Amino acid sequence: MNKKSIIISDEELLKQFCEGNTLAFENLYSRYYAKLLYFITQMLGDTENAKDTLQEVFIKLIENKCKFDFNRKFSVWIYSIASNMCKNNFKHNAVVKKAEAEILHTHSKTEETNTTTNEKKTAIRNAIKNLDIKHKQVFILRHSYSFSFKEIANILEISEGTVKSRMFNCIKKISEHKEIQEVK
Amino acid sequence: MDEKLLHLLETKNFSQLTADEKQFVLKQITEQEYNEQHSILSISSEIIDEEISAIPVDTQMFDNVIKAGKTNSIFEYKVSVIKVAAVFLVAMISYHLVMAHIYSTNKQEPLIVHNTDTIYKVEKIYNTDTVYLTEYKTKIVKKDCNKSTPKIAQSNLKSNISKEKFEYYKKKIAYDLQNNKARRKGKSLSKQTNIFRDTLFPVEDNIFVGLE
Repeated sequence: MNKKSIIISDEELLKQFCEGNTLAFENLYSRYYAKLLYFITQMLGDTENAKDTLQEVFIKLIENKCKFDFNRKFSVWIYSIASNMCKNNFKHNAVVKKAEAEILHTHSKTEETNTTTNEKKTAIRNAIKNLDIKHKQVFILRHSYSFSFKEIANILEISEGTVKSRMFNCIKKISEHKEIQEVK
Repeated sequence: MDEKLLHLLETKNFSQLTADEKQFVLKQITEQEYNEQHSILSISSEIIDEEISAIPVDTQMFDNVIKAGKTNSIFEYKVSVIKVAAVFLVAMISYHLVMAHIYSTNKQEPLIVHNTDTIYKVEKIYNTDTVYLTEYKTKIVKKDCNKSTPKIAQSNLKSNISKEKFEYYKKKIAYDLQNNKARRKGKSLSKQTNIFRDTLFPVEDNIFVGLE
């Protein structure tokens, strides 16, 4: 990722891509790949399935690049596509177990020396993991990309009030989680 | 909990809050609860950031996406149903016009073959229930011998019979015929009379034929 691409907004990059600049798309791809993959993995619970879905999201982006309403925010648009793709791909039961394995795998890579912090992190990670899909997607959108409640509402096609309500419930559920209580 | 409290939880710990904010927070939750929830949210963001940053960008997928995007861009032009229908209609009309033109140029005079011998025109058909067939029968006339005396020509008799004998037998036969009851009853006539009668008048089932 070069310096220019950091300065240029997502919307501007998309405009350039629409005009035929493939490099602009490469920048957008680099910016959103990890965040979208994380979001989709959390939703579907299966990294391989998530990767396939993410590929479809980017293909859809290419197909509809010139149809984008440039008055909107690109991030909201791309996350809306991803969210809708997840809805289409939802396979609740098989999904959750695989997600757990993936998250634990990732977690082992980021182990820290501070045992107390590590324990608390593990507890919080598990608490997030145990949230139901509806709450988890709100929580991740809020903390992965710092979307506003209104933007989250647009992405998930729900009301702003519902987003806030789910967010409060998330905090409550995480703080009441067993492991966190034990760490205290 | 409202949006303001959530915003404070996400951004500040309790010690960083202003006096008004502390007052606002303490109306809803305790300081300990606030710090605990603030800690959870901070660590959550940290965890999510860490996990996202641990994901490497897949360049293979990028290539796949570009390839798929190029392939799909060939079919990118989506047409409406009306447009498709209009094109189809124009194509059909053109086809018919071309075919009509080809047909008219290749058209030949039809070869007329006269293959009829006779045509019978039925003007009226009568429907009948019964068909009558006429059958002709030979009518046997029974001659009443009493009414007329048979005329016997002398030439029919044998040549050796004399005129006197002829007259005699004529009278005799006439008498016998008048008394034919006797004949019917099987009473025999004289031998000479029978011969004479049978010669002149052939008998068939007691009916005289051709006698006038």
